[in-house]
Amino acid sequence: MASSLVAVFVVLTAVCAAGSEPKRVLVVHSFGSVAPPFTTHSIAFETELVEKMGKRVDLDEVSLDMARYADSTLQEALVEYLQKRQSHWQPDLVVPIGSPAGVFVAQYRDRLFPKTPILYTGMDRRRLPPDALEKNAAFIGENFDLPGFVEDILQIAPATKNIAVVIGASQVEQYWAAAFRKEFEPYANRINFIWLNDLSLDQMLEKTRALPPDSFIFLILLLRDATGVTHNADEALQRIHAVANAPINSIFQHQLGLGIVGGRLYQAELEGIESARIAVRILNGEPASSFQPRIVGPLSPRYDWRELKRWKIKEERLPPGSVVSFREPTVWDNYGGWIIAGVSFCFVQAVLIFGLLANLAKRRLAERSLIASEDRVTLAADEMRRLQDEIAHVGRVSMMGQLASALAHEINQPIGAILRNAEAAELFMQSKTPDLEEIRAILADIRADDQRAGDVIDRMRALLKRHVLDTQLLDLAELVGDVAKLAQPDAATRHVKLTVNLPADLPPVRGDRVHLQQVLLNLILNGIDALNRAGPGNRRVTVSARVDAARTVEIAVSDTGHGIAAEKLAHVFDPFFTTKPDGMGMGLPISRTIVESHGGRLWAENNNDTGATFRFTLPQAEEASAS
Amino acid sequence: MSSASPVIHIVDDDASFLRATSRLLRASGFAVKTFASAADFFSQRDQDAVGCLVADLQMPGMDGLELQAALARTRNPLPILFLSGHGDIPSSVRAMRGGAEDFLVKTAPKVVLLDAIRRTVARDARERKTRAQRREANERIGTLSEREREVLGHVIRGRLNKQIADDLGIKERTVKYHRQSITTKLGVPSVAELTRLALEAGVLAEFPPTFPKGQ
Repeated sequence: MASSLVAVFVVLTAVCAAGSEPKRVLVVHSFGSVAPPFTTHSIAFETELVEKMGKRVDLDEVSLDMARYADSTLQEALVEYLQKRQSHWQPDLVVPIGSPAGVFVAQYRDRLFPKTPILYTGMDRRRLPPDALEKNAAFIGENFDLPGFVEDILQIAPATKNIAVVIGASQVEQYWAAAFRKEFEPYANRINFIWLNDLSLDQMLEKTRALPPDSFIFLILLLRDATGVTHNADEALQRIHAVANAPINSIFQHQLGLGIVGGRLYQAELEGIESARIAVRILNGEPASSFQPRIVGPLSPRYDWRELKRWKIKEERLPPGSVVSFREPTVWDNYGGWIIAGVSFCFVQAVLIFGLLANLAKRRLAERSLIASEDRVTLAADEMRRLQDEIAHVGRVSMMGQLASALAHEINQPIGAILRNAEAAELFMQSKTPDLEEIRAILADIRADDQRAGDVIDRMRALLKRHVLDTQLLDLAELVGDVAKLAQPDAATRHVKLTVNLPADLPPVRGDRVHLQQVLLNLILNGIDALNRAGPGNRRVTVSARVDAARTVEIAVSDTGHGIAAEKLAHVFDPFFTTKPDGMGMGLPISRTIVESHGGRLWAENNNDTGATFRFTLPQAEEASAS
Repeated sequence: MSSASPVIHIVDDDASFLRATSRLLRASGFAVKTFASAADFFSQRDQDAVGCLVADLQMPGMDGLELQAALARTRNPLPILFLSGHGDIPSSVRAMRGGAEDFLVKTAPKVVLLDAIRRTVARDARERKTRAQRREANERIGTLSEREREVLGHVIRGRLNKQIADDLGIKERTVKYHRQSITTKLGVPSVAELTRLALEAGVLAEFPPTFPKGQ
């Protein structure tokens, strides 16, 4: 959901920044398209680069994965391919992301990119070839503290006797397995390291399911397991988390929330953004060699509150200055009941069909009733469709939108199958000698699909829960400006003048960018909707802000519509309360939950003259903490 | 023309939906064959099958739109009815542009589904007839000599024997002789019939009007 908003902004910035001849950047990926942490880094890099450069950058990429089963002939073929392609397309900057790409580019530099500046990134310092930086190249990467990972585990679980190490068997993983083994040697007398690198993921799952007491799991990387199967390490992490009988730690910040307990985590995303900034400067003419090699260190320790609870790790054990995340109640916790209510409605229909069928099976010769019941099945299907349309309508608030669209898609499979089965059963039963075996099979299928639909809901639920706050330092002017740009076309087509009126020196706030964008977008679009019945003269929506004495920032969205009727004012934040004919009544309650989880308030009031104003507060950020 | 009876081919990776749809269609009197993937369809189908294809749009491996493109390249392009869990606009547009008969969500009412299937089957019969006619016309026109085809091109443009003789620089009597031979080989006496045949064969474009030099 974040990505779609980002994409919109990217397009907007790109349009604004059209101009001179675009700079060409060749990104050399180490692995395929979904291989965190490399792709965590590369997505951040590309997004930031395009955001900063807009149309002035022509981004192209190749993946070293093309030579996956890397023997030298394949690698040679890739080099020849790159040479041919350069006769058409000469990059202004080459950015290898990850050590396999870095090592490759360094090795073939003279043949492929003798004069082009190189930005090595997404790799550990010790993987960088020794003379790589001598020739017009820059480096921004990590310097992993390997024993530190064990220390982090012992900090929170001092009784640990076993550490199961999850890592794959690709070349880069073999390198790291050896490096980690060596650095873990000093702990050999205290800790028994269980290496899982020669197993398939399934076997790893088996192992982690039944580890001895006092175990911890440490996931380094999982790109390709010993049987040659490629994996998405983040997904593997979640699968391990689902079955493991011991807590898990890993290396990167983006994995916090996916099931790890936490510690000093490295920042693939930040590194991606920082490397994009250096890339912009190189493209603007600064020599690559003028940049000192830059190491992006780990964050101060941070932990997942839910994992601490699950493994009964006391917060006193955490080092001073630790950040504990995921403590906030999620949207699900507050409105789960309502979402379930909506979804259950779907279910009632499914159950209705089921009940109907069971009923039919009992009196299978009562053919008369069949015509009536067919109408009911059709009615039920209509009802489901109407409900889905309504859920789809919430698409405006993108979190709900994603939920709705995924829900509609996933749930239509089993519901469609239930419907088809019900219809088939009716037809079978019209026969003089109904095939009871077939009808029994149909009922069994319906039961299984009902279960399947239930599983879909469970997955949705997990998805909602996982989307927790990702707080960062935010510039409100930028945030408001971005959202206003997004809403502007809607305002224009409906002849509404959208004005942003902010004081110059708004302090930064700390919050989840995407969530706050959703709140603001929702309020602005509501404001525009409020003008539907207003006359042509005065159709305005204004976003303003002021700093409060209590170190809070207040943002107001006011419209010049008819205002909110007094008896409705108290209910606008109630779930499913709506004044719009096609509204669902979820936007404002979700918005309020988001604002409150940021430590602010959201309320509505009628203006003195005309229209209504929605206001929300956010606490000012304390001094920006170094991260 | 094949006299085989139509078969509804269903391709869907969702086993339960596949079974349920197959039951409904069988109970509604259709002959049905099911396939768990596009690859299965291509390897197991009867190459001369008559009927239509009901395919899920989202499938792992070859998806519905790829299946549509691949099937269009075969000599027996069955018309397709697409089903989808959730109708999104871009893929439905692509499906319809690719020549799909219709695009329905999986929860579409039975009457809508059965109606669409009947239309798709009818379309197959229609297209099959057109293809057969074209093939037959082509075969018959293929028996003509080079010169006869040339004369035919002029005849169906409504030129008189004398004009044709002038155009081709041959005697009028020779034109008459060629026309007789054409009529015998193609078994059609009238110019109107000849024109219809040439249209069916889709070969009208092969005969650009030719004129003697210097005119």
